[in-house]
Amino acid sequence: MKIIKVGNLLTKHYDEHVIVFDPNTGQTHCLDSNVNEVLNHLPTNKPYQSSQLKQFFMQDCANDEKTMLNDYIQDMIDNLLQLKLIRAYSL
Amino acid sequence: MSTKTTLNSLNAYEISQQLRNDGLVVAVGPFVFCIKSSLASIANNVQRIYGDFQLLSHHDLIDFYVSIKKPKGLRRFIKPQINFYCDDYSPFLPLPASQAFPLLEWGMNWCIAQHAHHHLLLHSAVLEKNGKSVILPAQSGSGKSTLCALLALNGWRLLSDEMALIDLKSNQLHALARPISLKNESINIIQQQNCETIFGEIVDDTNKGTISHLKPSKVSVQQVENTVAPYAIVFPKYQAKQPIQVNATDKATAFMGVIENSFNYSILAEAGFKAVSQLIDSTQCHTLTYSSTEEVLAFFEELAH
Repeated sequence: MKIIKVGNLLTKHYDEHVIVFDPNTGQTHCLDSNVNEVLNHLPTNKPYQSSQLKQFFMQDCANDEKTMLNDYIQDMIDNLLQLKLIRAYSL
Repeated sequence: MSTKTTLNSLNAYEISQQLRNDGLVVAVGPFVFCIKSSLASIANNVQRIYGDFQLLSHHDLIDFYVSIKKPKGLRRFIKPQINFYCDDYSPFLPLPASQAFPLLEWGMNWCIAQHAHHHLLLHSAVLEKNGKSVILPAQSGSGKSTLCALLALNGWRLLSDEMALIDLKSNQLHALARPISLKNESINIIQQQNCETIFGEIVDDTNKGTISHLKPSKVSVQQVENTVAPYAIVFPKYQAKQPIQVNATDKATAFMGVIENSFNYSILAEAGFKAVSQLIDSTQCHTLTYSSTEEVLAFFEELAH
């Protein structure tokens, strides 16, 4: 699946959380700070393979760690899709 | 220093006449209201509660033209009702005539909340002591106004009982120093304090129960033009028979708490996000659960020193 981050997001970082304001929807979200790493990695102008994203975060990991990270990142992607902070890209 | 003319310079008859005719022009913090009404209860309460406020004239720039009027027709006589108008627009349903003064107060709040979008507006009490301000954002029923009145009667300067006005550019808090709206048991609690208090009339059976307004201190009204930097945000909650509990709130939770209590965050959009970010950066944030007056006053005293 290809995903793309929506444009013009504003973020404010705190220790454990990141506050994300989406001017497209007017919504403000309080998210786990790890989500920000995923958001930062995603471009707003070019669709990105979610598998590629996972691979980036899973470098040098053992198989059990990869499984755990894969599930964790997939959860984040699902959550971000639901919040409309990223969109699934289709031609 | 120029001396400002206050409503105290007018007698009851003059206040009543101005309210009946062209309207009484009063400065309320950074806003100017022109108030019109022929109702005696409005004149009585305005004289009692707004005496220390600055009296202006029709030559000054007026922000809001408000009035409390009886409706035409049957409901003028049968179970008489009253309406609130701002610029001839009535945003609320009519209320019983006995609720005229609370309706005027709610209407004035409505005017500010609907129009003052050059500020971030929070549903919150704001007080200041020793240059340290506390913002008390809370939903109705949390004991915010009672706590606000207790602090105001114990040496804190009242900036607002109902609304924090945070300047979008300077991040400074502006004061309103309007009357403190007390409900139900709070009225007795504050009347029993060993302090000199002046209340407006007690009005029963409103949507919020029994209501009365506490006159703000003269000092608070005189210093209404003094802005102050935000120092602390405290989310208060009264819980009967519970010992005081104060917890530092993580900044992200405080951020969301501030948004929940904002009147215009969604209207301000990006400017609102930046204003809340700046506010959270510049303040310490706590949650407070309390029941004892002595304990809660001691906590705030410590905060101010």
